[in-house]
Amino acid sequence: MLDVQNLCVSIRMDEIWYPVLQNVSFKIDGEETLGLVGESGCGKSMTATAIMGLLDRNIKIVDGHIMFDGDDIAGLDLKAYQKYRGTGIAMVFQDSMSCLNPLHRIGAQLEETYKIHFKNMTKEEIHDKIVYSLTHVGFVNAEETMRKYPHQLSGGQRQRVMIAIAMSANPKLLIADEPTTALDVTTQNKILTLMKNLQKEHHTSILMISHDITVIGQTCSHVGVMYSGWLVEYGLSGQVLKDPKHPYTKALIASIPTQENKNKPLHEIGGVVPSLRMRPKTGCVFYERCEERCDKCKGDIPTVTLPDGRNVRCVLFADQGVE
Amino acid sequence: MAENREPILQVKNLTKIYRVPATKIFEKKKTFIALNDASFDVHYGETVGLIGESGCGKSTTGRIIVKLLQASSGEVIYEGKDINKMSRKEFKENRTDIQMIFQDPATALNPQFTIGGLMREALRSVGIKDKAEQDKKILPLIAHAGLTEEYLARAPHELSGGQKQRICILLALLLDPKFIVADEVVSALDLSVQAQILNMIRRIQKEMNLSMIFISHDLNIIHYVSDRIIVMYMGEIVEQGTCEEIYRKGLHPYTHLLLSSLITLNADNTQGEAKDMGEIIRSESVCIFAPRCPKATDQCWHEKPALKEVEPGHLVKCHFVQTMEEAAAAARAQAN
Repeated sequence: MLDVQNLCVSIRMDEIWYPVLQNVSFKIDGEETLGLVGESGCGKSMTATAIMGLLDRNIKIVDGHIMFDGDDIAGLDLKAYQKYRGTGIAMVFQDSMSCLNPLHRIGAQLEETYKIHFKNMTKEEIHDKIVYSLTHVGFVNAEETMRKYPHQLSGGQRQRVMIAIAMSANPKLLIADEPTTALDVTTQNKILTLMKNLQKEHHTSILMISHDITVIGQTCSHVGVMYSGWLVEYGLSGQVLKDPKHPYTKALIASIPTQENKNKPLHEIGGVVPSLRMRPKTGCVFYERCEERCDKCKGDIPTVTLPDGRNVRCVLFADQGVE
Repeated sequence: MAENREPILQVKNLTKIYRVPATKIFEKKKTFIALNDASFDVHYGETVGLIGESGCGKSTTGRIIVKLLQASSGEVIYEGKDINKMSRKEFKENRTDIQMIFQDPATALNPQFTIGGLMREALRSVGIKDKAEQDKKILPLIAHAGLTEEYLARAPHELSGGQKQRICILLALLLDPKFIVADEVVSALDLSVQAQILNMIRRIQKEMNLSMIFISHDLNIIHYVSDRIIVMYMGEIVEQGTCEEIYRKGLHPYTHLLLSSLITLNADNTQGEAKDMGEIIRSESVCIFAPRCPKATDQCWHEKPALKEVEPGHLVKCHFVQTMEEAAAAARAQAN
């Protein structure tokens, strides 16, 4: 349904264009959940904003296509995008406090989306719909919740309201940008379960973005690991997380503190993520920090598809690819 | 770890009550109990992990220990002296012993100072004013953290998040402390940097034989760094014990709830059956966890459980502890 092909995005800083995303390709179909994981500044949120068509003016899509249901939505203007937002693609943001309007009651904020997307609904129908959708995301007393203001709800409750708003027009694709980062672990679990249940009921695809690789492993059928604007490894989450191939994915998974590696030093990835201006112009973006680097890394790095179906962007696997 | 020595820090019946400003005129003054009757020990060279959801009082505990907050009642006995009763002047003599590392390195470092300036400032405050003498302290530490001398001339904004957090740790270590309170030190960091910082903390702790209170909401990290763990809920300690006791043999329903939310890469987790966080009922006769507890019975609503010692050092605040043990014994009998 969503097919991102060779997406390249650049940002303008001091009159110079710097590439933010380079040749990012992935697909989401049916009831799949794709998780994008990576460190801050790796471009995972940028990918989401590009798909939603919410890029700032100093950022533009340079190359590539975003195919949604057969239409290329890359670079459409605001008006044309309106056809897809809400009913086609909807988004849940990280910070629910700043995304809900503090001056309006919860009911009014949900009503707004229904008024936009279902023009011929009567007031009573909308009211019933809102009560239904709030009950659906786990509010016991929906009527009372409708009359509340955002600040009267807890963080988890606000995130539920956000999900209710996003799901109100029954979108085909839900983009969740760090939906549980600001929440406590117990609440986090509830929100993740809620999203899973909604997905099953409405047959929604989900694009989940998180810096927490364990959350991604828990919820997603597919995983894309991003580093410095590259999608370095992409495949089924069982394969990628249990048997990582790319040196970055390997190092990332080795650096998670678990119950097994207590009392042993954690694996460190030396150095830091290069800033946008400092990224290497040619060769592999991970070269400086990679433990398995060689001379070939300075040339062009192709994305190869391995026999098990996953994509890896690393020269170590250049000769193992299948078409 | 020295087992037979006195603990370096003893916290006894610590309580912190905040006054909440009235929102309406003529309204009765309200109070909020951030910390209720907390007692625990920290031994020499030991790391104690504090864990719980936001608002459970873990940071309040940390801040009282470094005397950034004054407790409402209770004692904080550090090497035989009660910190809580000391005046600020008296405490200043002990200030170098107890240091804190904060959560957000970006706001913990003064942006108008260079890194070197910040470090010299800390040394000046304890009377080391000679520049050469200051250098003697600063330079070996800088090398220790994997940074070079040139970083001393930089301003905080020129460093990355991980480097800033390292500087914060160095600042805490500069005065040769014996005790460190680390409040969510890696929460703001990326996974790869988090590993660097955790390794650095562990290495330094071993070398300097530091005692530490490590506060975090991340179950994986707490398990990784701690020798002992204290589980807090709504300002009360509900369970404490060794890592093994909490993670494998945890007894309190809240510990179960918390651990059921633990997500690991290789295992499927099962969702805990707890109710939403509702109204908090603070009463001398109601268990603090009763409104959310899946097992709550009449007894929980009429009698506050005491902290019971299940095994030496393993304390649980729950009415069911005894019956749970019996159930386990019964199960064993049945199996035989």
